[in-house]
Parts: sequence; C-alpha cells; structure tokens
Amino acid sequence: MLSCRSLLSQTKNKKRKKSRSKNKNKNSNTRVSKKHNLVSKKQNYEEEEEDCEERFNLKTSAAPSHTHGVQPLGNLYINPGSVNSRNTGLGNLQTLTDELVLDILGLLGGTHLGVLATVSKSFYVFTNHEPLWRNLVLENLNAGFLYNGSWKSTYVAACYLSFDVSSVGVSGLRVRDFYSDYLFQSWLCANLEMKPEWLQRDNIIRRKGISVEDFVLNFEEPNKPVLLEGCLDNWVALQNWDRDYLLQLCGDVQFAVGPVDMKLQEYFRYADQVREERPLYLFDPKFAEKVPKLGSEYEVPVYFREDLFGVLGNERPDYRWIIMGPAGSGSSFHIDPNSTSAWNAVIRGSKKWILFPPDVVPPGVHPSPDGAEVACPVSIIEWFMNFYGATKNWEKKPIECICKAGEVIFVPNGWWHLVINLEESIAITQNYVSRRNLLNVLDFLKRPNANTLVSGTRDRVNLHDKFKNAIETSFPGTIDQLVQKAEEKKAQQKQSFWDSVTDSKVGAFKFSF
Amino acid sequence: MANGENQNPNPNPIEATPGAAARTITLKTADGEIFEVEEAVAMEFGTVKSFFEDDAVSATKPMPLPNVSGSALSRVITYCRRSLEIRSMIPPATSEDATAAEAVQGEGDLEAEKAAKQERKEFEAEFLKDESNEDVKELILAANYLNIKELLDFLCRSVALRIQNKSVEYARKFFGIEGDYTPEEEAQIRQEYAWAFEGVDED
Repeated sequence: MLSCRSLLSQTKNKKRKKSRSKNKNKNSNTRVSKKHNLVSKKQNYEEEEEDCEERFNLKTSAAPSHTHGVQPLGNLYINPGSVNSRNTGLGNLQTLTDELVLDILGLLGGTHLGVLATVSKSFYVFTNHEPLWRNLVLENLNAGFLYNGSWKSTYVAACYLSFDVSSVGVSGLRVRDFYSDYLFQSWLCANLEMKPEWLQRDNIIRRKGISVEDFVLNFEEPNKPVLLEGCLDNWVALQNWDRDYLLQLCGDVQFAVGPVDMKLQEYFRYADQVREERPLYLFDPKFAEKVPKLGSEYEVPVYFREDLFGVLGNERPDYRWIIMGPAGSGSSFHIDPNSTSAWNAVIRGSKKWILFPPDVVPPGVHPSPDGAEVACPVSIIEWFMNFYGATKNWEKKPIECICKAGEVIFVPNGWWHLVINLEESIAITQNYVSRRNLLNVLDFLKRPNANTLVSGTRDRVNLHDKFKNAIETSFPGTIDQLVQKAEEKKAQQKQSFWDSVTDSKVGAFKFSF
Repeated sequence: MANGENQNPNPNPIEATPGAAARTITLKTADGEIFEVEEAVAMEFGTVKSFFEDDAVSATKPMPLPNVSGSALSRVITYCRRSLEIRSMIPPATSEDATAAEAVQGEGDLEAEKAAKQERKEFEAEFLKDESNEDVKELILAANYLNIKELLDFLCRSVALRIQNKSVEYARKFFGIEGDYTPEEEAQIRQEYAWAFEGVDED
C-alpha cells in the first residue's frame, strides 16, 4: 500500500505542470533570507528561536536537530565568546557566503569532496550538504541508481564498488559550534511539516454534477477556477491504482523523473527514504504510450472533452501526464505552457493548491519581461515560510484549496499556480484548448519568441501555422467566427465608453453657450 | 593595468557604431577611488545595471560601491572589458526565425566561435596567473556583490581547480587552517571516507 509519510500533522484531520524555471532539479544555491542582516539577527533571535521550536513542527520522523549539529546564526549571539567553527575551519574562505562556498564545492567531483571532508570539521559539514551529492548522482548516474538512504550514500555505493557503504554509521559526526543560517535553513525546510494555518484557507468554488454548459458558461468562459466533485466516479484507476497494483503492472518501466528516468520500483524506493527540500517528482508525458493499460483506466471528464490540439494527431505537444510524488514534492509557481487550460485529478493522496489570476504576480516570483522565464528561487516550503503570510493582507487574495482523491481541479489558462503534495499522491493532469481559448493560444504561438516559449514539441517554430491550418481543415470557418465574436464584444465595450464621452461633450456644449 | 582616475573619458574601444556617444559611468569604491567606466562595461555589473534602471536620473553622480576596493574593481573592469571584446568577435544571430538563422550560420560563424573560445581560454589563464588566493577571494566577493555572473563562474571554477586533486595537508596549508579533528574523530573520519583515498597519492 502507499506509504503514509504525511505532511498533515497528527492533530489535524485532515499532474503535471512542467516547472517553468530552468535548472529545476539542479538545486540553485539562492535562498531568500530575511535573516542575513546581523543587526536584525539579534532582534529576531527570540522570534527565530520560537520559529524553530514552537512555531514550526518538524515531521514526526525527523531528527530533533540538524544531523551534524548545525545551528542558526541567532544561537551564536546567546553564546558570548563562542567561536564559529564554520569560520575557523574554512580559513581564508570564511568571508565567502555559504552560497559561494557551495558554488565552488559544486564544481568538484565525488572524490575531491571526500578528501575535503577530512580537512576540517567545517569542510566536513559543507561537503555533506546533500544537494551537492544529488547533483553528482543526477549528472553522472542518469542511467539508473538505487537510492541508498541519502544522495551521498547513493553516489558512493554506485561509484566506489569496493567500499562497503553499510559499514559506516548513518549519522556521522556531530560538529560543535557550527553556525550557518543557510545550512540550517536547508535542513529545516527538508524536515518541516506544513503549518496548519497554511492549509486552513479553502475558498475555491466547488461544484458537483453540473452540466457542461454550466461549466463553460460560469467557469471556462470567464476563466475562473473550480473544483469538481464526483466526475471520476467511473474511473477504474480510482479503484485500482495503488502501489501494489502499479508495481505489478509496470514496476520495471522507466518513467520520467525530473532530469532522469527511473524504474517505477526504484522511484518508490527513493520516495520512501527521501527527506529533502525539493523531492524528485515523477512526471511522465508518455505514460499511456509506455503502459497502454494505464491510459485505458481513466477517461477525460466530460467538461474537458473539446480538445482542439487533437487535430494535430501525433504532432500535438505533450498534453497528458501521470504525476507521482512523496509528501513535499510539487511544483512552484508557474503558468502553463502555450496558454492552455488544464485539469488535474487526484487519484490517491491530496494536494494543496494556491492560484493567482493572470494579472497578479505571486509574492516572491519574478517573471522575465517576455514571460519566458519564471524565477522563483525558493522551494515550495520556503515560499510558504517567507511569502505565504503576505497574502493575508492582500486585497486580491489567492484561490486556495486542498484537492483530495476523487476530485478534479480546473486551472484556467494564464493562472499562476503552486501545488504541493501533502502525502504521497498519484494524479493525472491534462492540458487542453477549447474554442473558448483557441484565439489566445494562436496568439501565443504567433509571438516572435514562440520558439523559446512553446513547449512540449520538437518542431517549435511551425506549431502556429500547423495548428491553424489543421483547425481550418477540420473545423472550417471556426477561427473567423471566433474572431468576429471577439471583435463584436470589443466594439460593445467601446460603445459604452464613447457613450459616456458623448454625453459629457453634449453637456459641455450646452454649458458653453 | 591599474585603471585609476581618468582625466578624460576613455575612448571606448568597443563601440563601433558611429554616433553612439562613449558614455561613461562613474563608480566610487570603498577606499575612495574614482573610476570612469564605459557604459557598456559598467552594464555588465548587474548591481550597476539595476541601479541605473531604477534611478535613470543621476547618471552624472558617482555610484558608491562600499563593498569593493579599488584594486578589485580595477581587475574586474579589465576582465569585463576583455570579455566584451571577445564576445563581439562572434556575430550575433539576427534573425528571429530560428530555421533561417540555422541556415545562415555557416562555416564563417563557427570559425569565429572557435577563435573566440580560444581567446577566452588564453585570457582567463593569464588573468589569474599571478593572483594569490587572497586576491582571488577578494575578486569573488567583488564579483558577487556586483552581480557579474560570468566572472563569478570563472572565479569559482578557478578556485575549484586550485583545490581539487590535492592532499589533505596541502589543502590545509592552502586555506591557512589547522585540522580540528581529535585523534579519535580523525580515525572515524578516515574510515568513513576510505573510499575517497583509495589509490590517491599523498603528495
């Protein structure tokens, strides 16, 4: 059965959007920090101490403190006379920031990191930073790897075959008087439970059993999100898809997991053991081609059956994904590609969603001017820690909900969204284009930088022409109809504006006489 | 090599387009040195770029750089200038239509790219040849503060090159530290990391 390392605290009861940021699985070393300033550190100490012990709940299976004894910088201030072994151990590199030190270490191979670990305790702590080893595994062992409790252990076991990894104790050395916000925060984010107040707000509209017309009129046309209940009731997947079933059906099939492929059984092994800030996410656009039975055990809910990219047949962009991930995995803020809309159906587990409308950029997110790149340097958990609170005071609050097994969420085109799995979850998601959205998509594909923005196809540049022609062939006249309708709508709106202007002109004319 | 104060603005060696004035930007370092830098070079510094994008008005007043020394800034400017020159050796892709650009990029462009790569390699090898570790570290801090990705990447790579494949004792000397393991801890560590020392010569 599914493992239940859940992010929901015990007292509470309680797809795929391709991440738009590049290097999504190579951990960037940037971290938003509100605590780099030494002065505010002192004032924040109490708050921070509280943060660590009271306000934040660690996962029940987490160690009570950092594996190697790393403490946040705030603690240094209550220990007058204490020397930071981070600095003494780094020598002349000590004035570099943690991020810079890690950037340098990130350029070294496994052996070099191993040698450096014995140089000083500070280097020991730094070289044990798991993301370093994760990058080494993902870059060098992409043919396949057996996750072995930690990324470092995985790498060593695979690359140094004569060494018996199990002979080494798991926890290693604890280092005294090592203070580093960056490294502490990294550990904290990997072991944090979702706070109850992050899960409380649930303001999405829910509907059950509505007609397709109702959906189109009230949600698809006005481009509003909605959570639909009861439309997966006839999905075989809902009954069948648990770990045992899937392992039996396709345990040794390779699925896309971030930058690498993994056999499903290897992925489950990883998911059971991992505890990190950004767990790898199984996100495969070819699952139905790889395992036709999977494709046959679900069907597109009736609301979303108009899917115009279908006219392209095999040349259509990637449009459907199976998504599996442990608690804490998910997608940080992004907008779906090609200006499409999407639906996401949870088969097992549960997901927390946060959505912002197209004209509201979420806090902490920095899209490039042409929209091609979305920089959200923080992990999902860190976004909650540092930015979620800000949304409380905004007028334009986000739409939020928890989507549980059997429920489907409609993500309107252009909406920002963030998803985090609260427990191990399995879901299906599809992107689609209907007549309500066709013109938007064509406009998007027409853009001069479409060859960078258009995703999921090999033939990026000609997608616009191909799609337009295919639509004309299968549904002649549709595009013209839609264009006409859109212009009529615009003209109507214009009319009311001119109406008001004309009125006021008449008034002025009168008065001037 | 040191580019101290300039009496007259440097004739910009990079600007080829006529009419584009050789605009300079004035920078003031932590130790009070004034640098007049061609705009194109100064805009390589992410920090300077956003400063002037936000505050378009005072391009005449010197921008303070409280975290950078004169010697570091001088080296940084040299690097960025040379880097721009090398980059201008490669003709830019002008067409928005990717397929057309691919068709156009013929052997001439590939040759230019190769030449540029070679130039960069030689320049970078030369650039840090006589720098001490302390100097390199100061440059890293400057490049980080000024937000110059290319330079920062290069410097980090250089440090990585300097420390890899070295013995533990060499590394300790290199960083200027004494090992802080107790004998028991040392034994434990050596066991934990036995795999890293297989077949490695102690030099």
